[in-house]
Amino acid sequence: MMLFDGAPGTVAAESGAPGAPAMPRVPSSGLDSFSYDDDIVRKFMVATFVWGLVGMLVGLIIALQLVVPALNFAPWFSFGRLRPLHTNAVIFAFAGNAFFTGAYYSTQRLCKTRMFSDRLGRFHFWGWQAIIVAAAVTLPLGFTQAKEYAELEWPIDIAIAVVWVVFAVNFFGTLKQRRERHLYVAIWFYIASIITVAILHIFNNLSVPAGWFKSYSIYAGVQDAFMQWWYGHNAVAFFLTTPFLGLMYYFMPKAAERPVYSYKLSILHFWSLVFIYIWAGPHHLHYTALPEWASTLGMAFSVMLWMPSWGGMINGLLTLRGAWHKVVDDPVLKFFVVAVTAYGMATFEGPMLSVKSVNALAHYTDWIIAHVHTGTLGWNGFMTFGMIYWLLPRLFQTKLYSKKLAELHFWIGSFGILLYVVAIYSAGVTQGLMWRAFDQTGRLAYPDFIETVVKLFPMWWMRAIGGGFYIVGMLLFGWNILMTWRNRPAVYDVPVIQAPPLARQYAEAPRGAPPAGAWARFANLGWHRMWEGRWLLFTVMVIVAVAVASLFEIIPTFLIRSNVPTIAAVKPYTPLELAGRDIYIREGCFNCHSQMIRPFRYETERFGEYSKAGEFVYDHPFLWGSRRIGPDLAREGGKYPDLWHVRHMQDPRSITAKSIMPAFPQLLTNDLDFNAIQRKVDAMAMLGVPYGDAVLAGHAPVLAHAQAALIADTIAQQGGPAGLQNKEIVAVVAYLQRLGWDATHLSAPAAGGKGAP
Amino acid sequence: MKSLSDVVSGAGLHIYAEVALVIFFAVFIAIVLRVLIAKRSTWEHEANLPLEDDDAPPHPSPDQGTRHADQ
Repeated sequence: MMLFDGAPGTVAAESGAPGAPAMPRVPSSGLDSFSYDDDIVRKFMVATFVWGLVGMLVGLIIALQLVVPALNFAPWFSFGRLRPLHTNAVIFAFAGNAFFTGAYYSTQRLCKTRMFSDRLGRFHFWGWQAIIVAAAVTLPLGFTQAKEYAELEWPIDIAIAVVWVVFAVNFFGTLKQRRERHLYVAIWFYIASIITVAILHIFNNLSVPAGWFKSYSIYAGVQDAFMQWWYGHNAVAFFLTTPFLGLMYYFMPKAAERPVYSYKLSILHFWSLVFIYIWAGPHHLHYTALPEWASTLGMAFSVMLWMPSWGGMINGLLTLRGAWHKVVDDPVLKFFVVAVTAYGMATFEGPMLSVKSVNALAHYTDWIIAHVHTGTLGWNGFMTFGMIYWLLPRLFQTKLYSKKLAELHFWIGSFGILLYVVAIYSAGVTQGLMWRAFDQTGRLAYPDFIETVVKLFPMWWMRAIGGGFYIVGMLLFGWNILMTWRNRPAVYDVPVIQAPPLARQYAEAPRGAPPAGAWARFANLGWHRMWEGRWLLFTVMVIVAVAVASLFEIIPTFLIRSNVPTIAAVKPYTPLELAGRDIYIREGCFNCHSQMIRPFRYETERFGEYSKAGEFVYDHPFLWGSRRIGPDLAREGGKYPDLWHVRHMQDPRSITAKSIMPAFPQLLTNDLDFNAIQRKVDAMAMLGVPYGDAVLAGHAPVLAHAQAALIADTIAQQGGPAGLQNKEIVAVVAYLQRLGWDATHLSAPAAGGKGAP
Repeated sequence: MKSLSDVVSGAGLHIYAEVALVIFFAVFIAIVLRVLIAKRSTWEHEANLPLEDDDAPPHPSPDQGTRHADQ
């Protein structure tokens, strides 16, 4: 099959690989006639481009906000609210739609059937787009669960579950009516993705609502962190890796016009990922208050992932054996080669970063951002571009508008990735080393956190430029899609395909003598081929592998007391502090500030006593953070006077000249919604937080008013503005002054403001 | 949750968890080893599945003059 300019007539002769029976084209008795639904594929493809462009533009905006803080010009346009929009858009909207595009195209062809239901397909498409729009509206408004890649609030989470189930029904219905007995390995990867994403999504998002767009995670502190990174890590695994591996195993052989290098290796690749990936989540929490055994288990399994991942990369690249000359001419193959190489780099780096000593340097720095972008820009982005350039002539039934533009897209995109990752790797290592540097006298070499931020400016500029190049490539891509679409035929040709239905009964063709004895039956491999032919059994096997791994790690953390030693001095947040915490969440402060001091001397010197598991038992959700663009806040309580916080929120640059924090002057003018506090306290009490009298109807706002008055007085006494007792700022100050206080002080603070330490 | 975690903490169940880990890992290793030593030809049909359908892009023929863009 020629990709862009094949001569007519060569097509039929080249289709069908040697040894495989060619598909009958002439009608004969006993054959089913059907056609493929490519309309749904076209829809998902266009959505992939549109949301990809939006998500990447938001990425460019937040990259620029880091170097030009004035770009945080409105509450809904500030870094803390836009950063989740960027991650959600590129993961779920761009990569999600790309996966659906490829899955709808390849599943029909691999199963020799139309999708189970056109209507369910439409529902899936429009439902998913509606969810994306809901995300794009609610995240800038500050509605968030504060869990990375699971920020969307509970009504949207329910909608996601519904749409996902509809997709699953449509997908498994298609497998059930297939006309090809054996499920190709790409289908296995789709099955694992669909099943695991459903499990992850449901269990990480369990929460108690406190209003239409506000909820509290049912888990607290260490357990919440554990669930979140079990989810977060496996969202990367089963939303960005396995679906795209399925696409690779289908579209790579298609573009290279030869079967995958080793089918055996692809089976190994599949089972290794399914068995091992789930365990690796705790490597996101090294040196935190997570129990040591969980952390070590996560590290061990992460290192084990390296080999199968590289097996997969090698399998992809070697599929081009004997076809490397085509790479020169074909932008599709160029995109695939870089994508698979980026997969290899990212999956080498992942296990390396999961080694504790490496992680100690990289955690909280831009190194992680660089790692992620190698994966997303390189692997997910380039797989998507290659796949869509391959699909365009087939979906729009005309030649690709411009192969040259596609080539240009490839080179500009590659250059953009290079600029981006080189800059941001340097930034990560630089900042990590600065944080841990001591001078000859044994004191921190860079005691002011801001020094370690200002140093990164040149690299952050270079990152923004690299991202800009990548987006220019995206625009070329869009132009090519548009112009190819304009050349489409007036009416799409819908070929009628014929294939025999599956026989009711199925017996594996005998391969030599029938096996006798347990070992022989095992060695015969008939059991694996039986799984391959029975999608339901196969799916159950995947669920078992994933569930065992999950339960083994999760149950002990929840049920063995010694994993979360309690600290008697740690008490729940007061109603006002709880309201302040919700404002902290609304503004997305956790995107830049961690609340988890690791047990290293360079951390305790800088931030104070390291964090303990018992300190977070009332934190629904946990707010440990994953990146320190600003300093850690775990011991912020009592560090500065109340007035300092007021001034700092109003204009961070009046306190720290080079600060890049967005200003939050609106906190001084917005009225605090005291009436909502009772609902918050009640929801927390439902989760088992001992609120005592505060749950009595109307009591929580009374307590909050009393504490607010004290703090407002303190601010006024310190020379600040008077009359703040009804404003949001007092709640934020109350919360910040409480952070880390209980475990380092014998008694809880008096309900009031704090003066200078 | 409180009483349940007390019971579970005191029950000394860790041996079950360790046995489960060993079984889990053994199944995985068994699959890996068996697949590793299989003959290449076992999956020849499956490996060729993506290449079975003929979906080369159509090429404009002389009589196919009507295009959306022209209308």
